[in-house]
Amino acid sequence: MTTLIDALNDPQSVMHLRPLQLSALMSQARQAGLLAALRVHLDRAGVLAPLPADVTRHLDSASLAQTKQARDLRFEVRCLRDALAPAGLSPILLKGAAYIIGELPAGDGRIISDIDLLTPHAAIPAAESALIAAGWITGPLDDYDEQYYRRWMHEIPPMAHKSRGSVVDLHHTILPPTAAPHVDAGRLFESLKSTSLEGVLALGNCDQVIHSATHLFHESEFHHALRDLWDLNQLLRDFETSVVSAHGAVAGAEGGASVNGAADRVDQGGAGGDFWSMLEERACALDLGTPTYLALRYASRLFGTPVPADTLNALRPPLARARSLLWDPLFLRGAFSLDYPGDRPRGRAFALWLLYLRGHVLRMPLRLLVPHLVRKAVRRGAVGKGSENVA
Amino acid sequence: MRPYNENLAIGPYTYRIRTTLRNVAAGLQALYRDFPRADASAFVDFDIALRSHGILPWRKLSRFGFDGRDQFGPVPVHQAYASLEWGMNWCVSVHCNEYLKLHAAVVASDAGAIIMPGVPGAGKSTLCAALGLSGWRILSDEHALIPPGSRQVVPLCRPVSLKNESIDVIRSFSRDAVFGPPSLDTHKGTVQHMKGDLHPESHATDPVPVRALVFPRFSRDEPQRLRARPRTVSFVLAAYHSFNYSLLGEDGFHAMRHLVEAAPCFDLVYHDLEWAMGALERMPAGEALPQSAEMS
Repeated sequence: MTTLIDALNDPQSVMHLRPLQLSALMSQARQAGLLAALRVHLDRAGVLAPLPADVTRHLDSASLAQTKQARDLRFEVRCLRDALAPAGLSPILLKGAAYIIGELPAGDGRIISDIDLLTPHAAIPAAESALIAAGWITGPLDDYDEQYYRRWMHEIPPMAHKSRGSVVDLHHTILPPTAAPHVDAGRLFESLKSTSLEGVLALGNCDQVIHSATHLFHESEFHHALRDLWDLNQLLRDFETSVVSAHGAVAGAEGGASVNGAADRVDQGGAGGDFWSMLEERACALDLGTPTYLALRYASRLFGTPVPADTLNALRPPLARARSLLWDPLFLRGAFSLDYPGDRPRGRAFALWLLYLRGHVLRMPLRLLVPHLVRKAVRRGAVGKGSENVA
Repeated sequence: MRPYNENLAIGPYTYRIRTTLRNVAAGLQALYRDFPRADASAFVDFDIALRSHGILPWRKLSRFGFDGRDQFGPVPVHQAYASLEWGMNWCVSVHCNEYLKLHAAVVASDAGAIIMPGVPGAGKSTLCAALGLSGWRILSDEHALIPPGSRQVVPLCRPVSLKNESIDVIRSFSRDAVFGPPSLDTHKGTVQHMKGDLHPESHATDPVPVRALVFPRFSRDEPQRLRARPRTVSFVLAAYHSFNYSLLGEDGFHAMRHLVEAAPCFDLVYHDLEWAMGALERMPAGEALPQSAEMS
């Protein structure tokens, strides 16, 4: 049942697939949000052209949709930059938008659902007003949801553009403040780097990896888990070989407005050191060693990412061997598994349910979590599906 | 009744459809009985499973599974058949961009294909059903698939979706119409599908040359007319009715221009089916028609 993972790891293998296996491959890739990315990968390996036309039309269709999305994203990011400029802020892109606008290999064929931005906590009111002035508005939320976001979350409620519909998630840190790791968000602004758009920034290389890993392994919903792990594989392989200073090139210096001047600062420490030791150091400094360890563990397990054993050992959290007895079945059978072909693999629903609880427990202490989940359950029962807008 | 599990060849695509729901299986057996079956080992484009959901016997629900995943949330089981047909449309609307796609009914006679784009309620499906029952070939009730750079439409014949009064209009129009199970109280009201492959050529897959674009509008109050309309306005309107004109970017523009350049465009305002069908039968080759010509 690893058709998609096999195809990503060994593109040549698709040449030997029978028609029904190709159906399963298309279906899995579509389900994982990796259809356009798969096309990029197969094309680079030179195995796209020999595939039958009724297969490639699915890859081509997804690629056309992704191209359009990336084009729209570029436009939206320029609008965001112009909207934030009067407030003296530059957009700092996170995740998919950062990979695409940063022109990283992870951005090739990447589809996104919304635009994630990072801004210092103190600048949230200014950024929010600037975005409202430019047409991004928050949908109707009840008091509870509003308060939930404002008080407990690492982001403010999503803002959608009133005419174009683009959705922006404004983050002020990596994790909800209620989560156990205490991330010093200020440090994220130490090592910003430039993107292909002037005045638009992204996190430094190590921070991009750590942020992606933290999101993935603190998630409670895993619809895009395999895609996120593929991102991590791509980022790690890319950053390992690219020669840059410490946590990434320093940006913003000539790129116009910078965030509280932080972008102008040069990386501290580790210059000249290799990527893996910088990643290790940075993950520990941010108190995010465990999610980074999990990302390296599963990226190398599923995609053969060449992670040095030393790095993995250094990041290994306490009791890793015992905890992996639970992690492996949950992540391999739940998060990184796919529902097709056939029906949901045995135990997947249970694994996903446990991961759902795990994600919530990691996010907030039980004294906050229990009332929140009860409230969600009651409301779901009362209003029915579709009214759920709290994470 | 046995569970339904067939690989149907529908236009350029293969749908694998499975269901254990009796009313859905009955509808499939009635409306798709004459569709060619794809080989069980052949490539499948869209794999769909409708399953019952929920444990309350008085509140039976159905789930539309695609790629092994529930896509739309459960619907009451008496609306399941309509949800299947809408889901089958969705597969093409959302996932296929190898064609320029217009939201349109498409019918053909020996003279070529007529593309009838229209918003829901414009009367395109009613007209399409009536034409199909009168010897025209139905190429699609939902999608005009235009290979970019061509002036042809690729057939995607499926059942015709009729709503509310249109169901009775077509029932009284012809006794031969074969219907699937009604879906009651949907967001579009009562919906019932009519067997659409009524022509000997219904399952042929060759592209059909486009003869004209006709924009139908049902209106009781206005005089009936078939009137040529300017190409520029038609271009914009056709783009508005397209699922992926903007997604295709510049290629979409060129594909649409190439199509509209050669196809005469008409407004059709009607309330009488017989009149509308006659008007389409007598429709002149558009190049010769002055832009303001009116026929009645």
